[in-house]
Amino acid sequence: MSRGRPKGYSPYVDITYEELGDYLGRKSFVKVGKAWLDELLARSASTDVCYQQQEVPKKEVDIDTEDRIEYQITEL
Amino acid sequence: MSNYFNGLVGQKSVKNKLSFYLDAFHKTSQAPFLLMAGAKGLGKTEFAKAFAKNLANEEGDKRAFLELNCSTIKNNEQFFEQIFLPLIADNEITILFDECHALPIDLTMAFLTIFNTESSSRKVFEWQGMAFEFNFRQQTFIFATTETDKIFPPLKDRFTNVDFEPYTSEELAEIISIVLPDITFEKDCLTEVAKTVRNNARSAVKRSKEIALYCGAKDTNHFTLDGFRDLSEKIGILPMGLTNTEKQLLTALKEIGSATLTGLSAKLGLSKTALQRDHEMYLLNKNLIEIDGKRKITARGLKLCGEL
Repeated sequence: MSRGRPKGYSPYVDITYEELGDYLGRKSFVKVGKAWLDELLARSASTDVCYQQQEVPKKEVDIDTEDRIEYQITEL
Repeated sequence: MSNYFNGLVGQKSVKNKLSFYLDAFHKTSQAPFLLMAGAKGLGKTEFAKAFAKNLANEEGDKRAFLELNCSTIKNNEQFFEQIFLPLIADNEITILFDECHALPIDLTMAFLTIFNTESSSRKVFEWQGMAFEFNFRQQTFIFATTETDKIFPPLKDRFTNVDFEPYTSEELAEIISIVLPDITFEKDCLTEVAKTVRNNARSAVKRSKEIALYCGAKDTNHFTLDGFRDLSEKIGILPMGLTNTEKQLLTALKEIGSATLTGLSAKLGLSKTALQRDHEMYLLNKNLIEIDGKRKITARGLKLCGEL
């Protein structure tokens, strides 16, 4: 008689945060691993800094200029 | 036949053809849709401009000349809004569509209808509920390209071809002396200079400017063969006007005997298309290489290699 989990079995499933919120609501408690949470907090703190550093000024796209046909008129 | 192209050197058959259409225009007020075809630097735009200069209305008023680059036209809407309505409609004007092989597909289709005229001098093109009237007595359309094979064939059928030829060394020497009226040349110097401008009028004008700069720096108005050697050394002018890539190509073929296009492309680090289009054509034209399955250097190419 075989025992244990079949090959390839995983106790976890992938689910989006949005979908989870649909089931539980945004204010429900969800159990997560301490180590995972610490790592996540550390990563998001450093990411905030990165976002600030990487922020680039918005490029203003002048659609009029980009779509202009190039021409030259000469009075002969 | 009148002499309409006095200031322009060479292109005898082009001059004859355009003169014929100008004579006809002065009787009928209508010119065919001309397609100026030929390699770069042969004078397509200059001749189109000179043609336009001779198109005057019955009162003798000359027309404006509108030159536009087709690669910047994206669609019908843009063309009719930015060009046709403000500049062409109801105006007496000559329009040159340069690089016409790059016309967008919807405008190509519109032009198929617009330029499908047999005897009528007017055409109304209806598009998106609007009517655009073309009057071919008031408006003359000229097209120009280096790549006639890329023009949609039915559209090409609506045009009258004007084919440009490469310039001879004598014609190029004449162009240089016209651009530099204040500079005198040592015997044979002008011919030597002309040999380096690749049968191309635009290059002849560019070379003239370099000579003017050289003479200006040396404070002289006489240009000698020694001066030309000095200038060539300074700015890297090679015999026959070869480019550095062409020099490398010849040297590679001299070393390895023969090579496939792929082999040469790998050796020189250039794409096969660029090699074929931009370099091999000139070397073949000058009989410096031959292609018989593989690329080989000719005896003439070997001799030139020794001079490089």
